[in-house]
Amino acid sequence: MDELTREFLIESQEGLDRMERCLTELEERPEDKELLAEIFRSVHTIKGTTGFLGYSRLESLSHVGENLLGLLRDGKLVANAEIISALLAVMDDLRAILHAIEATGEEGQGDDSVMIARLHALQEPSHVVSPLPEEVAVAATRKRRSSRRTVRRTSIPTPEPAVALEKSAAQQESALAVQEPNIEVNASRQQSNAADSTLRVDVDLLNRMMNLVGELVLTRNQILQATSTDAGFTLLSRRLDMVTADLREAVMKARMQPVSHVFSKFPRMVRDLAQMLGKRVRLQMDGQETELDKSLLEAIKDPLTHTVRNAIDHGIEMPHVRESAGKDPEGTLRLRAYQEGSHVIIEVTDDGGGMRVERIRDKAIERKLISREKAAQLSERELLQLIFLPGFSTAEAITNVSGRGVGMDVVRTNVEKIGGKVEIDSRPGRGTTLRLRIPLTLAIIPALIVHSRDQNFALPQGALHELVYLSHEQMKTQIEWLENAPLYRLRGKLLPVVFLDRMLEQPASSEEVPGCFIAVLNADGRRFGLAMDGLADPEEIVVKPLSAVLKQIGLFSGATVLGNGEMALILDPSAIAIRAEVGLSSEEEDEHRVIKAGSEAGKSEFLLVETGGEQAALPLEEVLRIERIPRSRLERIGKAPVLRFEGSLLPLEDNAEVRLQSGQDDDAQMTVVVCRDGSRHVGITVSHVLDVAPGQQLEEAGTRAMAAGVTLLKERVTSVLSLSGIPVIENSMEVA
Amino acid sequence: MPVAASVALETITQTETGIEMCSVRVGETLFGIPVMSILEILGAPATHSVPLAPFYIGGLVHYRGEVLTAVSMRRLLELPPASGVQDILVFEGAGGYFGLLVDAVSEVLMVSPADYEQNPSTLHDRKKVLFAGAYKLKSGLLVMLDPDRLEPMQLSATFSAH
Repeated sequence: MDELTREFLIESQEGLDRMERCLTELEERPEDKELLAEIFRSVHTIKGTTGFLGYSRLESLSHVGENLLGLLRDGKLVANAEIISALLAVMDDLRAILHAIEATGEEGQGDDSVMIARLHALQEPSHVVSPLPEEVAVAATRKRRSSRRTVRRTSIPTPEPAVALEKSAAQQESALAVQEPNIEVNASRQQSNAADSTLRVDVDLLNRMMNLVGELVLTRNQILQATSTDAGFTLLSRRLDMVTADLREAVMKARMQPVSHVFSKFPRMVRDLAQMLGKRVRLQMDGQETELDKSLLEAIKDPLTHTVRNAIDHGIEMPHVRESAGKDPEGTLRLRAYQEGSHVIIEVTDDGGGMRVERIRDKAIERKLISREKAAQLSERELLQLIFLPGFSTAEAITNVSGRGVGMDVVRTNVEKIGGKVEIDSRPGRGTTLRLRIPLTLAIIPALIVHSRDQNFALPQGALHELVYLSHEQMKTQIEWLENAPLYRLRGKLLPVVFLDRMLEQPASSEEVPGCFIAVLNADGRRFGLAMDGLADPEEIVVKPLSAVLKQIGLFSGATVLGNGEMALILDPSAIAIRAEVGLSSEEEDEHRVIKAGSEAGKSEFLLVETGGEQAALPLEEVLRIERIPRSRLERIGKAPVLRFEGSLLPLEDNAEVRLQSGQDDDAQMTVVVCRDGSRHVGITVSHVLDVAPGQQLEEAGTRAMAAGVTLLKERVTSVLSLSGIPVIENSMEVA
Repeated sequence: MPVAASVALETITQTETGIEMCSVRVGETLFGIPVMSILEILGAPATHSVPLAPFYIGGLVHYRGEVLTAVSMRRLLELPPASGVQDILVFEGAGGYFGLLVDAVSEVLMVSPADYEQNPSTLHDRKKVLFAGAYKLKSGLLVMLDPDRLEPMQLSATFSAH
């Protein structure tokens, strides 16, 4: 296939995608001129190019489509469901031909006359007044060919007889060009600009670049460690550090695509499905601009499609059922994408019937997926998870849409394959929310390096909630045993503890351990503490896949090479939880409820820190991360202290006055609390992080300029640090 | 699968007059591996042990930005762990690169097909699946290894079948 044809295929596909999106929107706003103009332009471009390349089937089909759209655009026809269905059908035909060209280089044999006749029939202006059933309409047009002309003639303001459709179409086009010359010119200019400044790049090449950048990150980490003692190299290696971070960011950005690439096909799908099932569904999509790595986007396409199908087929009820339940007969399906830390969350929410836990349980028992005894022990939340078991489907009848027994397990497997998670939440009578939690990127993740029996392991920070240190004496008293199960009381609740060395069957060391760290993890709703010997620094690790034979062990999700050149296996927290038989907990919900109840009473959680010799509080919901960073990383723009953090510039509030101490001991570490302030992130240096506690908000403002407010924390009035007081980094500031 | 592989090896021995074999020492035994199948030889790499791994896995080795799974010849032969440093041979198998830990790589030998003989029937079954016959050298036997049979996944299949 030559370059020209390939280009044409890609462009036409994109044009069709765009049209499909616009057409479904058109159904909501049939009078939208801009929308119509855009659809018209897309189909016109296809027609123009096909004629040039000599694809006659494509040309004739796009031509009738164009004519019909021309009438819509000029307001001679109003788009109705029938017209839109017909236009969508034409697009399907066009797509099929494009596929044929891609596969064989030929348009393939096919009869388009029925489709062409259907579109011709719809061009009948009377059609809008009294819609005829399709077959009749086709027959009628054939019979009344001459009368059709008369009708047309009267409907066109210029009295010139439209002998051939071609001619009138050309006329309409030129008329448009005269009426709206600016729009046309602008549009074409925009198009050419976009074409000049973008480039199609092979995904393989991007993958390779990503691998190389991963290698570079690794080498950088090693160099940083090797040169930390050599002052002369420090400057150079810091520069390398910066360039590497920027390069990584840029390559990652190049691989990012907005989720609208996947979302865009849903309006059509939802429309078709709803019509087929006789349901009424309104689709609402938010956060389409949220970006995700290209390969991840590909990977979630199928799970997401499946989820949407399920929501319409099983979730949203028939209009009369909804009405009798006192709901809007039109159901709402909401697709929402947003970024949360290093994850992108995609939510599919319907306001349908929800899932009845008893039915799920009965079905699972009926299909022998679970024993009756076991089912009786499960909590509601655990019962909901049963739908992810292979072979589970509650559909009463096997429909065309779903209910073939392959379903949610495939969704979960596919999402977990890319390191994501699926969460489900359902309320009977009120609807279901399925949440896909997708990592931003596969290649590089933040992790905490931990030790167990002199071996390094990387613990992904995604699952990590908090760390608890127990000295040798504390271990003896505070880890309690219930038969074979070690437990730790975390804020009054029992937390199952898993000893990493025992889980990995590592040989017990002869020397006595000085103490242990318990990492409190939440893996897919399984909360547990992972006990290990020691901690090293957090590090951004490059994930390397393991060979198949080591994947079979099931507890490691990959391996990585650390900054010091050593290797570490990456622990898979959910696999460890499952191996240790940690059950799903409802604790998370409980905690949420507690916090919610607390905030209703004017209370919220605060992070208690010591800064500048005083205790101060930070609203916990604004806190993103707590980082230990070498003091030498503190830089300044003008007078404002800043920190380069994950490739971006972080304005800093230097309360602990690290600045004054710097120069004395550059290798010393400082603690920085990274917070969210509106849409920006800011950092606050603190001397110590003390505790997390609920605070009683007080109305009175403090006297210090720093404190925008005070709160009653642990029976002490504590100032709340103001995040908005941290100056914005401005371009006008001179770089010091 | 092992049968097919040994046939392939025989065809090599029949079509060529002399074959280059890389000889490696593991314990007291001298093993031979066709030079052409070896991608690279790494001297004394740092290995990182993997908890819960099958017994024949020697550990992980950093190799050109990838993490290489290394099969330990000593463990396969149920020998005690090596006292000194080891060498590693890198191969490309069906499931990607993998390494083979040996005591030491010695020299490249030319062997003649006429000196080849298949595994003796008296050999232990467990060793039969690992060895691919032997060449009779003046100084002793050169026991042939077939990289395809030593691929970690292949070993996993071999040992789960036994």
